[in-house]
Amino acid sequence: MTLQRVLTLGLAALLALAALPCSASAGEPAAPARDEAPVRWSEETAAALERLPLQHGGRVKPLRTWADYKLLAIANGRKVTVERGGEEVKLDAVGWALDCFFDPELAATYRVVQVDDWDVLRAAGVDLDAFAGTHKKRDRWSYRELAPVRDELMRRAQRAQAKGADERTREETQTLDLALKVRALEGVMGALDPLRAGISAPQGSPLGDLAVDGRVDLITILQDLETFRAALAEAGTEGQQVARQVSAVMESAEASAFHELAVVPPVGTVTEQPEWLDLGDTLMAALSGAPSGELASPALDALGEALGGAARREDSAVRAGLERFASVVEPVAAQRGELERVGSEVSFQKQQLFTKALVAFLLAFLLGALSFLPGVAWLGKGAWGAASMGAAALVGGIAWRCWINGRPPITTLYETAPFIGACGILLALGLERLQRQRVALTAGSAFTVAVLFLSFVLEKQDAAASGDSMKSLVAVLDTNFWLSTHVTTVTFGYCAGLFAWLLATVWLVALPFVSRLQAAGREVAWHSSLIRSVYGVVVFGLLFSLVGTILGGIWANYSWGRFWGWDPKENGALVIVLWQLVIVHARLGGMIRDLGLALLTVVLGSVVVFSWFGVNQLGVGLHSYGFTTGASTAITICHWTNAGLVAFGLLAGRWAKAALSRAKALAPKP
Amino acid sequence: MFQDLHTLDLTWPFWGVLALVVAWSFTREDRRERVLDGLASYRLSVATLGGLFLISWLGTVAQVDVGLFRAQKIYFESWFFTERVGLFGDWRLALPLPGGQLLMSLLAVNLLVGGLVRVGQRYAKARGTRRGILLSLLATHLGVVVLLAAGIVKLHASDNGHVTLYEGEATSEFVSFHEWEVAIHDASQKEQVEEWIVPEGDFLDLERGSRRFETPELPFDLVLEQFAPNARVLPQGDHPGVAVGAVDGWALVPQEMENQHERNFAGILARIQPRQAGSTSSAILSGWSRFPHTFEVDGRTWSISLRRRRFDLPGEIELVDFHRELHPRTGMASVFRSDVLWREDDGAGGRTEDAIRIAMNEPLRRDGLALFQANWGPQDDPDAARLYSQLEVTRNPSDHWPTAAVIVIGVAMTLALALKFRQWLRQQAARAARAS
Repeated sequence: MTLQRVLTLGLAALLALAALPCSASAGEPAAPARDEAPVRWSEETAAALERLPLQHGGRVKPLRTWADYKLLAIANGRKVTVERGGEEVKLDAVGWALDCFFDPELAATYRVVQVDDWDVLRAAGVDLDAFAGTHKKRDRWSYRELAPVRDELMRRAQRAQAKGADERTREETQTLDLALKVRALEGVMGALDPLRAGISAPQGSPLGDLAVDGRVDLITILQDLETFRAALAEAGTEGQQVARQVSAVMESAEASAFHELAVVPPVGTVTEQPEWLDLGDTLMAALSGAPSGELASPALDALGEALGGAARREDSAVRAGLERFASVVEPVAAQRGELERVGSEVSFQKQQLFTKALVAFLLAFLLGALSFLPGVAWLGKGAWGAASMGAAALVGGIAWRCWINGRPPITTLYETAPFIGACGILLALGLERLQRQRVALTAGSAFTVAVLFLSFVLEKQDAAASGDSMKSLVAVLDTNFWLSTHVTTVTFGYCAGLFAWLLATVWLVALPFVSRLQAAGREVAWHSSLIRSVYGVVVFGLLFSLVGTILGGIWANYSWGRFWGWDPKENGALVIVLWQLVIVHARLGGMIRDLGLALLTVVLGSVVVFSWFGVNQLGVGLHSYGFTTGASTAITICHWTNAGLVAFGLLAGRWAKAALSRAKALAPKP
Repeated sequence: MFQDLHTLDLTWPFWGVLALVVAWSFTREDRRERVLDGLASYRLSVATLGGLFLISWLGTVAQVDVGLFRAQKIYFESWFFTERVGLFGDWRLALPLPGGQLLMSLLAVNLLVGGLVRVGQRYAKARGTRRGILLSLLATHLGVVVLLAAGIVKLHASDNGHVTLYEGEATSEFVSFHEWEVAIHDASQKEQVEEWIVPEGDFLDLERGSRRFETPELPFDLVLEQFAPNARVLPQGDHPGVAVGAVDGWALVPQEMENQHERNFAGILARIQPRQAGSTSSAILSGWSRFPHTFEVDGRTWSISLRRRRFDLPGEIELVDFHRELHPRTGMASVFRSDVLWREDDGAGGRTEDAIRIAMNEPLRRDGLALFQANWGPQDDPDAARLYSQLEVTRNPSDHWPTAAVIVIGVAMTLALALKFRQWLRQQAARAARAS
């Protein structure tokens, strides 16, 4: 079964479950405002939660990463501003997860669910007039606000899911997207519900002695397993009823993170027992006394302590419970060699180096652009400094990811974007060093800003699709040699093509102004050196595109038995090489001059976009792990923009030629 | 009018005409220079590269509608093809365009004459850094020539297919993914079976018309007709399609071609005409059939079948174990591998047996063959007691040529760029010195 099919079936199953009227606790709209103030989580408690290791998506990572991507998928951001205890506070993913786990009633009031267009809510039955004063068309909503239409939303999403991706209307796509966010939020808020849930145990029944007000929660049961097992063994309906109730609790949590949070490692080696136990497995192992769950009882006991602390609103007790939980699972995880990079990943997620790099490049671009104003050329030095710092952060971030992931820099579509950004700014800094005219530096900063914004979009898509940006790889990609050679060189070719496109665009846009100055007899050195840079970058990119494409063929020869199969992804790489060769040979043969070079390089931008994203939209070929959908509009806009640029360039070229001819004609004859 | 343009094979006309033109050009020096200039020109480079760019793009997009196999035949392995361009409404403009073979052949000529001959001539006149740059460019072009040569050898001299085995099974042949053949053998033979094969090249064109096949070794002639590249055998009169032939109440019904070429199952009508006594019998041969059709001639039972082409392996391969691992808590496979036994004659009357592991990215290369882990199954039955493994098999004489080409191109281009950069730095320094 292909991964795509697994995901589709998984999605369908999730929606089918979600369409059922939701069960207790998190599923229900929360009660009106409470009297008690919420717990103020200390930094230590947040730290205790965020460093908990869990297995998710095929790898072991800190809970911080899991929470980060959950929040990113639901709220479209890594932080949310919420009303908490009567004041507005900014919560990061861990603070939000703490409330979801330990105070879901409060978390249900947080406006975290990003709704891109509230017409989706109107269609599901929300009276938008009632929210006109508090919400915008595109805004975040709380679970409590969405709960009344939740079931209708799920029904509509199920209908949309039954259609193919190409057949859905925009509203249906958004409905599906919103339903998944709501379901994800329910999952996080309901993650520990089964442990809080109780089963009925009237006085005189086998578990009656453990009960409070006729009910006993599972944590209490775990603390007295002997009584529980005796109750299960009870003859007649009593034992069956206990078993039925426990199984009902487990089933009610089927779609929640209770079954996603694989936080308990099995005792044994990774080869023998690769899969960690989720909370459901852990609970079953503890109740049944299965040998696979050696850590189950102490781990759940520790979680019980944290839950008890949360019920009493004691931050310190929650922290103590979490720390005790960590002390149970971490030694085993460390023994299995799975804890080594978890701490480092927490720091990586918190540092957000790519965001810092983005700020630096924005600053570099602003300073670089301002430095062209008369008298402030010195700002260029500031631009150089900011861009260098940004480059250090970006390259450092990529290297850090590589170390955590144990992989070369590019394994997914998302990772191509920061890599292209890093190569682009290094190329720009190199060119700036040679030319010292601030054009390459300013353009390079703008280029990297754009690419980093794109990387954030791709990261959000990864967050929604798989909850991670360091995903496990399909078997054919599991080779660091080819990932570090073919993939990086081809991607560098993309980078060079796009960077050349940007320089050519700047050259074209400046052409009317520059030709005016030239007509007035002034030299514009940066403009002519810019077009030389365009050619240099195209030739430099050709080396990487050509070598990278052939390396891809050799990899295909090792994996699939043929060097070249005319597969769309292969052809995508080939068309870049061919177009770069057209440019180089047309220039060498004197068929094009500066204007022609700029125009063909603008077309190269479209060719790169076709190869980078366009072929992934076709949905055919052997590179199925690279298929994506939903970018067609952006790609079309990009191609039309380039078509417009070419038309503009042709007009500007004619205009410039005419202006220079006029100036020549008017010039005094000797 | 241009519908089947891509089926034209102009290999000999192209090279013949080119040879004549070159030979004619050598009759006068100025003529020779003109012809060589034309063949070596940058204009020809730009035209062929631009053309290749265009067909690569068209052929890529077309794969959504016609699938990879047909797109490959139409756009990349053709001398010419017809592109239908939508104008307005249902109006289409049929545009004849040069195909991949023509463009790549022209590019090869351009590379040889321009990249090697001309650059070589310039090298003789150049000095210093310029010589280094020209030498690097020469090597780069040589690398691309090697790549194109590898492509031609692969196209004309390679075999490709698969070995599909359940654990415990063994075979000494592999089966083509795409090609068909009609196989006849004496069904009464035991153990070593002698087969008579009609290759697909001899019947692919029989969608209309028929062809007789005869050999003195067989007591009958075989007439093949009504070939359908994708067809089903259905009860006569009980189907929506138009049947092309019927035998004993069954009809051969052509179907729409599937985009995924492996899913097309051919069909053909066979007439068996005994040379001595006996009446002519007919059979519908279908690629779907799991068993051959049998018939009697001269008191012997014969069998005939339409099947995927088979190739001999130089030894015997047995699948001992197929192993698959998933990334923990996902449905995504992290490892596929097949443990096989490879047996072959040792040349001294005995047999050798090697235990070999074939995994993703770790093929088995042996005796000019390469075996790759390609697929496995049954994938829709997670509880299957036995798994099968599919190994793709390739026999390609130019298997390692691209590796040599990439080394040459990579080193040569890097050197050319470095030398050019050094030249540029020197020019800058000289300019700066003049300015000061």
